[in-house]
Amino acid sequence: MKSLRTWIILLINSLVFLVVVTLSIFSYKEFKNALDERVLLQLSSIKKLKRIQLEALLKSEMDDFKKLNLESTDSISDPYSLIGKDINNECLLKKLNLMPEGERFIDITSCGSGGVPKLAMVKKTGSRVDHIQFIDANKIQDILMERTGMGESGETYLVGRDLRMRSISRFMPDTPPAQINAPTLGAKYALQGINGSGIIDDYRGISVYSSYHKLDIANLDWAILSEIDVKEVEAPLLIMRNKLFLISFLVLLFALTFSFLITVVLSKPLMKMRLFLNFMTRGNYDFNIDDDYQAKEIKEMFVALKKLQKSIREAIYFSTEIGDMNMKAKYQLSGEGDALGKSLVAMQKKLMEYENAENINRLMAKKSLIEGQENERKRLSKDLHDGVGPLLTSLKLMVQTSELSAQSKKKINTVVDGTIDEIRRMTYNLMPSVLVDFGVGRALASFIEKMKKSSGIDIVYDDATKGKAGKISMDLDICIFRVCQELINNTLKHANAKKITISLTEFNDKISLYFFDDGKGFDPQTIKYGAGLRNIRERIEIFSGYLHTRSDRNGTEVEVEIPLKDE
Amino acid sequence: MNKYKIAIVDDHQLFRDGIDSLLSMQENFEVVISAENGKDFLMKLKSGIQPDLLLLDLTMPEMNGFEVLNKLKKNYPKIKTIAISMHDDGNYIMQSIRGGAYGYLLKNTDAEELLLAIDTVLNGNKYFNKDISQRMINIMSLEGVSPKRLSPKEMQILGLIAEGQTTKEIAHKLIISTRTVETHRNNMMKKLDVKNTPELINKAAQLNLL
Repeated sequence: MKSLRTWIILLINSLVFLVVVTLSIFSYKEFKNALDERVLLQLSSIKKLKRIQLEALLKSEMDDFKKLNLESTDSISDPYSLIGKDINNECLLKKLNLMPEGERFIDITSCGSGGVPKLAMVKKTGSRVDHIQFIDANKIQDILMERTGMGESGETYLVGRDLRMRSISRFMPDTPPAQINAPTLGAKYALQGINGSGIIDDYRGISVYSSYHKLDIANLDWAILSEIDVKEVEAPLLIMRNKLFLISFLVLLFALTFSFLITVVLSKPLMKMRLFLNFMTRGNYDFNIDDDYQAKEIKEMFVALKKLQKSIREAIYFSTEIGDMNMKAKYQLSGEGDALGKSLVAMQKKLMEYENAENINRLMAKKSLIEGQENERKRLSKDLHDGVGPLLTSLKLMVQTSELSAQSKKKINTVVDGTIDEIRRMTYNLMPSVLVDFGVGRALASFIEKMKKSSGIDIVYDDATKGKAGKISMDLDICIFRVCQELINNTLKHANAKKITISLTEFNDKISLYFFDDGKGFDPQTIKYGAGLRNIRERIEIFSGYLHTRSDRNGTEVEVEIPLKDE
Repeated sequence: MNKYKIAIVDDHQLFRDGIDSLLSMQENFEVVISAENGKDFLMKLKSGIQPDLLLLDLTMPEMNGFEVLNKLKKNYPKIKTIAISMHDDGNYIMQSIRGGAYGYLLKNTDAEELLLAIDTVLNGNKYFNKDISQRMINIMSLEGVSPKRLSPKEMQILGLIAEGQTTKEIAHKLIISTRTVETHRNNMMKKLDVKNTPELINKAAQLNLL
């Protein structure tokens, strides 16, 4: 599996390569075609010009020849006088014999030796040759040598019937033309009367652009060819090809750089995204996601990831909170489709129900435990007080009315009084009868009285209860009494206080207890769940009361409020 | 010489018998009624016997001593009662005195004191020994005063509110919680039928409470 980066570079570069190569080949071909057309067109027009000049030259020569013949019929007695020695007479005669009557051109190059082209105008009357005049080869050559628009290698030349040249070759100026064989395709076609143009091999065997045409002169089978070397024509093509190669190379180089940059822009955030997603799959959600990207979609992607991370973190926090049974934790659903959030909230609801039920159970259990305990204490206290007490007082009376000696009576009475005091102490500790008979306000008054006496501490007590006229139930009386007992005992035991202030106020709908000591206080962190305070908390919880404690070096303050129920 | 008629109400037979035999040893006392609770005693009173002095237990089934005291105050004001109880708590003593008792004794009191108390009361005086008096006084010092239209605490708080003190300052001054101050103020507003604190001050001024 290849990496994203490789894929991007590979794809972009192959695409660019394909486009560049296609474009290059196409434009090269187009250019070449245009060039071919253009060159051939030019060659044709040059050839046409030369052909017309040649034809005009030959025609005017012929006209002059004819005129001359009319003026002086016999001016030249021997028509052969003009013929040089380099002409084979036999061959010439043969040609002349074959010639019909009249005035016409005859190509007698093949009869000459040395290969110099010879074109003659001959007048024949009957079988007699009246007049022979040679065309000056230089005149023809002058026309052909004019090479405007022919470049370095362009030339126009003539080819005779025998496929040999009739004008001087540009490339072989020292070789007589007729010695140069030119059996090219252009010459063959032209001599057959097929005029045209194309890329063919010339007499040197070199590839040339060629335009060929047969001269339109009666009895003269000559072809005129204008040619230019392919090599020369294609020189700019070559340059262009090189340029195309260079441009292609540059484009590819650019594409490579560009694709590399794209991979950086694209794959860097993707790699980052992969890293983050890997983190997340491993359960690690504690990392920073920066969404500072230029590309809109990538930025959106990271913003979405950030959102996801946030909601997952919230869900984790929330589930940790409810795992710790913190039911006050709130969870904001991120949307309609937030199934995780919904199930978490549902879980919280269930847990809350469960916790509530559990709390109620616990409270009920605690309540019945405390009530059972208190009832047992009350029963024990009553049994001692009402059962054993009277027996002892009766015993004392009996002793007093008995026949015993005064000394014995005194001895026994001391023991009995001691026992009665002990029973009073025990019953008070178990459950003060004053609490049952007078309510918590009065019972606290006597308890505080006892405490003041036994400990020497100053206790200010404000009793604003309504006594038996109020709405405080027996159970609540016991609750508040036990809470105060616990608070006072705690203060005496630990606080080293000089003064305690207690106020108990009964309102229509609640009872309010305020407790304050000027002791050294306690650390709520460590003592919060101390047995004493926990006891207090539980007793108040049973009555759905409110408890607030505040403690520092200057003292401890406790506030309790318990609602009163109409019965 | 006429013997003093004495009644004993106690739910314990043994105790009644003990007192009976103790008193019978004296020449001038006669136990005329021995009842096991208040109801029983009142029924016996209705039959016509009128004791001079009643030794009354406080904690009894059917009808307790305090109720008996209330009935006697209304219907038989001449009967002098000495409460005789196991309870040594000041509240019982206070309640008995409020009910009209002439004396208060603990049940394990010595015979000598019992007789002294009976004598004192029969002579028209009240009898409370030093210990009982002490307990009574201690508990009186802590007794709340019966509520009038506004309780003393409420009057106090009203005064402080009128002075312009904040709830926190009042709570600090009276050494009660701010919640309690709030509750007091709400109760006062309810009692005086007003809706807010300025109205409370106005109404209180109108009623000359300030």
